[in-house]
Amino acid sequence: MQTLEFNVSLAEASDKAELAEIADHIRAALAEEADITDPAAVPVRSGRGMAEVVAIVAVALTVASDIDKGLKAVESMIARFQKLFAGSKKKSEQILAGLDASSILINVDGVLVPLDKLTEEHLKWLRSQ
Amino acid sequence: MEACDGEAPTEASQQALLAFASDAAVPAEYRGRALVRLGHVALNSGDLGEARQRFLSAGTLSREGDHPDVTIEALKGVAITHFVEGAPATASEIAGAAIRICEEMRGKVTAPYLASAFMVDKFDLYVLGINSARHAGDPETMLARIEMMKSPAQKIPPGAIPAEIRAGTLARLRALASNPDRAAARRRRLAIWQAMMLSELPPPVRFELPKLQSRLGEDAIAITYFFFGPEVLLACLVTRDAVLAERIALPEGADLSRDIDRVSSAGNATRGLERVLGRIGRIILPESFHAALSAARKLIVCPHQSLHAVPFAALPFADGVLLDRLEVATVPCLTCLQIEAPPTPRTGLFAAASETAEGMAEPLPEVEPEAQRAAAIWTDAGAEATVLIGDGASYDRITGAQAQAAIARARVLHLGFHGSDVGTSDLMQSPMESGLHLRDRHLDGLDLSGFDMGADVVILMACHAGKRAISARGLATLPSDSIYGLQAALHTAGAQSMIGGLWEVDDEAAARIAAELHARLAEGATPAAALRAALLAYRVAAGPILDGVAFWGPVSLVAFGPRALGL
Repeated sequence: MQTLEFNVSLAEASDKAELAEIADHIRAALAEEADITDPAAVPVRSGRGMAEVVAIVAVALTVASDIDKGLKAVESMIARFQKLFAGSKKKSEQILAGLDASSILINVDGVLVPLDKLTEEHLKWLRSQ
Repeated sequence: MEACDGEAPTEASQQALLAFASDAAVPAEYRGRALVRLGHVALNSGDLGEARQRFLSAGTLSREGDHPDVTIEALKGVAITHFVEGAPATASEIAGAAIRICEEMRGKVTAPYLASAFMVDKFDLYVLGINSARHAGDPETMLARIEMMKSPAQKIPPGAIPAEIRAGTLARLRALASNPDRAAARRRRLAIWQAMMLSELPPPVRFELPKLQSRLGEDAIAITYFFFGPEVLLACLVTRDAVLAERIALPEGADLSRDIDRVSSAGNATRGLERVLGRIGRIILPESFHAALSAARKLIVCPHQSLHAVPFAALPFADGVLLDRLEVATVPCLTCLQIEAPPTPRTGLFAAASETAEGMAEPLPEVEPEAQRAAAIWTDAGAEATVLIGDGASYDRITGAQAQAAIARARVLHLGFHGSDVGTSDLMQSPMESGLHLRDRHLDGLDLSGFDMGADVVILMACHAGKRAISARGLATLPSDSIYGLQAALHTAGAQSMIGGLWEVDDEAAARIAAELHARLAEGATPAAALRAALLAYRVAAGPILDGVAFWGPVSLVAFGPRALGL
């Protein structure tokens, strides 16, 4: 059992209800994946700081076998959204359809690395956890 | 002299230095400096006898002409020779003589910001004094010298500048707030604040170990940290009847400063912070402290330099975190715990919050309901509550007479706004201008210094509002660990403690924590007990992910005296 944590970075800040919908879709899609248990997805928005906040959905899940299968499951989640929501008129679904690997920021020892920028070194660390 | 400081002088230049030092026509100060230099050359080559002789000769010359800088360097050199020779008690005594001269000179530096700059080239002397006292088995002297290097301005009671002077300052700052020439107004505001900070103040309280230990009692323990250098940290645990000092050399491969940087730049989107804090905790909480940590109920931490960024309550300990077992607060110096805080006649709450702020794109939907809920809690408890939200939370209203009177009466202040980060490059040059983004204008540390707030606690539910400037004014580190920014402003204004965010505070998490915090405070809990209860309750109810330390960890208590901890 290994844990995978990542943020889904959303290009445009959405309102609370849309973010909650997006989090629900992510949780449901991941729950469908065979190797994943206990996916949690929580919308995070609005820090009380100066920086302009990009909304995120924070995700944590347990991978039953190994971390590579967990990463594959995330990739198939993106592909699923692209197919499922292409052409949707609903804002939250449009956002999900627009996700790609660069929107998924994987926690590698406290540093967030885009899914498409993971190196062997990053994977080594993820597999060692 | 400067030119040859970087490398060992050649034989020829040593001869030249010696000739220079022996020339009676050369002023005594310069001859003394040459001898100090020659003393260090001898020290580096291992000739302790010659080194000591050179330093002693330098000391004699410096006293002839009354050149305290040279006397300090000469005494430091003599102390080093004794330390190297294995006589730490003698080294400590001689270093102490140099430190006394240094402290006398330092006491004359009163201008804001300059105290840190004065100490830049004195840091090594205090390290020597602390280390030699430690080796000599003299914990009281060791701690007293550490205290000399911790936040000198907080060794006087909060609110020591008379209230009428502060009020006059605030009125003058307020008059400039709408000045269209912003650059000129900014310069003028800084000058007005600096003039106030030059007011006559009571003498600082002297550190006394027995008084601190008596204050700690049976329930509380204190840990004070001091960086000898980037790789070596001294941690001292103080209990009612013992002092335990641990010299911590950073383990190979550990990168404490990188991990602290990660914590310092954390936000609600940060993941994996628990792991980073685990690495930090394993270094800065040595095993020899664990028994005392397990037995205590209250932990007071006096951090040093970059450790001010660490959320101590969130450090892993035993099978959880320190918060699970202890009320945790940081203090700018241990000496402030000796300062008596008379019981407050103040009651009730003053709260102000604004969902929107000038120049801030992102609204904070939770802050206004949070302030209203806080007011309802205090009203239900039968106390007075004043709340300004929306358009009411403007600069003019909050700095106006009516709100100021309510602030002066309140036991708890609650301010919910966007905060500014004292660690950003602009504010590092002028940290007292960090502050809160009100509805219409920025309320900075200069303004807050002019408030009259004798509150038990000021709750700044804003990002970075609990963060301290670690580097500022062109200094990579602040040698005497001086506080600048909001913490300094609130101490000047008279607050006994503050709760603020060490990093970005999540809007929703802050609102949930605030509700429980006010409920406990209104019941009469101390700020330390109330914050612990609120954070524990938040974690239980938060659910997955939101229970992460990124969300609750930044909310920290800084005490300026014993009252916040009920000591």
